[in-house]
Amino acid sequence: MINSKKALIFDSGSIITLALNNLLYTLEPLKKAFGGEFYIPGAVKKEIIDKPLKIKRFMLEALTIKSLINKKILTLVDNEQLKKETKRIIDVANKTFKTQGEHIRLLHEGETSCLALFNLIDTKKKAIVIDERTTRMLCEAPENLRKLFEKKLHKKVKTERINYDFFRKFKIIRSSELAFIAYKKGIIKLPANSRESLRAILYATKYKGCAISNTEIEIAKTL
Amino acid sequence: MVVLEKEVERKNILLILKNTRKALKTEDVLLLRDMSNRTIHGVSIYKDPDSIVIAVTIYALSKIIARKDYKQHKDWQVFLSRVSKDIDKAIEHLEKNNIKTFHEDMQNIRKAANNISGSLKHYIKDVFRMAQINKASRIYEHGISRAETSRLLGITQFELAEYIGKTGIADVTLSLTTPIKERIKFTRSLFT
Repeated sequence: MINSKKALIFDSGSIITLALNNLLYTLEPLKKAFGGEFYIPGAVKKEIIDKPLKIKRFMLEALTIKSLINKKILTLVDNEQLKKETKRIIDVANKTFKTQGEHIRLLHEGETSCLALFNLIDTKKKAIVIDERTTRMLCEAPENLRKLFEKKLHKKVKTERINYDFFRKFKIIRSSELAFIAYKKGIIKLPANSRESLRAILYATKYKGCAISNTEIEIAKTL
Repeated sequence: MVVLEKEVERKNILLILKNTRKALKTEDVLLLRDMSNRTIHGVSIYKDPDSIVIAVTIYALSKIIARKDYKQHKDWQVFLSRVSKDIDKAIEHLEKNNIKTFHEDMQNIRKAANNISGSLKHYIKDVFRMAQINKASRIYEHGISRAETSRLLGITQFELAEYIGKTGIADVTLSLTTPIKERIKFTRSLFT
């Protein structure tokens, strides 16, 4: 187990959203305000540093993220215990839905390692920062995910309902909520009123891949 | 699992390729897109590499055929003739259940751009890359995670993030889970 007073675990997508919006600088002051640790699992590092470093277009983002690890703003976790827990969770996740006699392999090591790390951190004040919707739906509304599969595949999808409870405990936020906090704490400053600024920030996260809806943005800007 | 091992799926892919051949001759962009979409369900369920290659290839061909200006390029006929021959070969080999050669034929369609020169070559290569991202977005839309989708299509999550941000995937009602007020309240509680 990892002892930490508070912890946020970052999935690839949330870091990518911040990187593509030039908002990575917010992580250092956010971490100070948070008063805990910001973690990334090894499988996520591969997605946001190792792979994009080989692509000219995304090298700068990859190096900027790497500097956050070097400066210990992001703490890398990559050990056997995490790999073992990741495998255990991926086996459950990818055996939750079945169609035409085949299990639907819906999650990858990246997202699953965030769930695994959540289990290994010994604190109640923790969350996973994940922008993609599949993992969030699996944890918060698995029945919606089953309905989505049926709608898109035009096939009956069977489910292991017992697995729904397995994923219920994971707490999820998105880069959009982090950016919201960064604005409210004065970390992001913009020459506009609160509503306009929040609208700009939240739509920026949406357009770089964060799964937040237009309706959610319109509600959030008033909070 | 390999979809082509199932006789019914092999016949389905044969039908898709025959329709692709027909659509290329008649320059029927809509038929090409329809054929590409038909393979996406197979990708989502079976993660079948053949279905991925076919979906990406046919979608890319639909985009290429749609661009009228490239038909003026001196190498256009060379490219089209090469692609048509490779599709003929792919159909022939799949009918004979010669899967290994079928794979080579499908790879050759993508390589057809290597034999042409100038802007057309670069355009076609870009179209194939964009077709990979487009298909990845469709698979994500089907409910498969972003990382898993990126792995399947061999693209980075950075590329996929930029693309899916412009789609309405996040606005689908089924995607809405915990209410935003509640999620922000929870986030605020973490920061106090």
